[in-house]
Amino acid sequence: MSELPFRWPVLGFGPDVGPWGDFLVYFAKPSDFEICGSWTLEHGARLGMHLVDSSGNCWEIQNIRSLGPAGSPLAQIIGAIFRQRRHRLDVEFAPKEPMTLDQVKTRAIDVIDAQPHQWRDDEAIAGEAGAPREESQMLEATKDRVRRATSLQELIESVDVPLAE
Amino acid sequence: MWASGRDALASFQEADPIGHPGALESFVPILGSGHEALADLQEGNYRGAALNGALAVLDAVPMEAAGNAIRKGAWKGGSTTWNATRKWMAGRGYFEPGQHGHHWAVSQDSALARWKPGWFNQPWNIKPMPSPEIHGRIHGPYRGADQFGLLGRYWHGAPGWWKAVNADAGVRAVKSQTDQGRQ
Repeated sequence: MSELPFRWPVLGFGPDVGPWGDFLVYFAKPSDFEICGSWTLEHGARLGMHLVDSSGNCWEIQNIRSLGPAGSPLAQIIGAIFRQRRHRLDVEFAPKEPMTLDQVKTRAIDVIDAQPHQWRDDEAIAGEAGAPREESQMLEATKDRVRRATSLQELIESVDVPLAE
Repeated sequence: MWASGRDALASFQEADPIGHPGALESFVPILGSGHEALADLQEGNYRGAALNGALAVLDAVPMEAAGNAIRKGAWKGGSTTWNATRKWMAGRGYFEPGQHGHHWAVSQDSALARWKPGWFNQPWNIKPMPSPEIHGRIHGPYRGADQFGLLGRYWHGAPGWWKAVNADAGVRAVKSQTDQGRQ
């Protein structure tokens, strides 16, 4: 793959692939983008993903195929044992209209609203450490952290967006 | 039906002895205890047969859990934020989207988990909860309902395989006492 045009980190708005609906992930470096797990590949979890980099430039992943296993032979064996094989990828993506940070935040909040359980701290709601907390209040606090972010990096960190895998 | 059952048992007890399992076989889950139960039954040691039969059944639960762990994955690599682990587990059929997950062995509030956040967001440490209320009542009073007692917390909080391991240990202790009594 030729040099990637992104300014890292890159936020990915994932398509609904069934078990959890729309989702957010981020890519911190090229290898995060050029390698993925077998589950992600088999379920097409990156196909159609909308990418926003730290400059606000956007792309959409249009095609993705495996170039073979990733990692050392030992890593491949361990991956096979734990059913988490990694694949090197050939990814085709096309540019889209850039987004402002406010637009990214609005879209991120839409994803959070669509899948609130994904952002829920079950143990806090159940009262593991102190009184049980209200799910709606915690969700609002999560969205507030997104609203307060002043950069893509801060947005990713503020709500613990998971690394793409 | 009872008569034919008694006849079958009598015929089994009069047949050639099947013998007890050897040292190696006795360590094979299900097979070792199952063989021992049949040998006890043939010798008329009904208490031993019951205890070994229970052990054979209890062996099956952790074996099934181990099978599931191999099939679905018991250890998650990569990102282990709660968000990532929940998605990963939902994607592999551990639980339904939206279902509460309980950190049963190492709680999120423990010193270990605070030291290494994310280390314990792993399938082996997460038990799907039937409802938020059950989850809440493990930790304390929840929406007007009292906290479960010790037994309730154990029953609702621990996964089936762990309870089977505990029960297995209990049955083995009783069996050991019984065996000593017979000697």
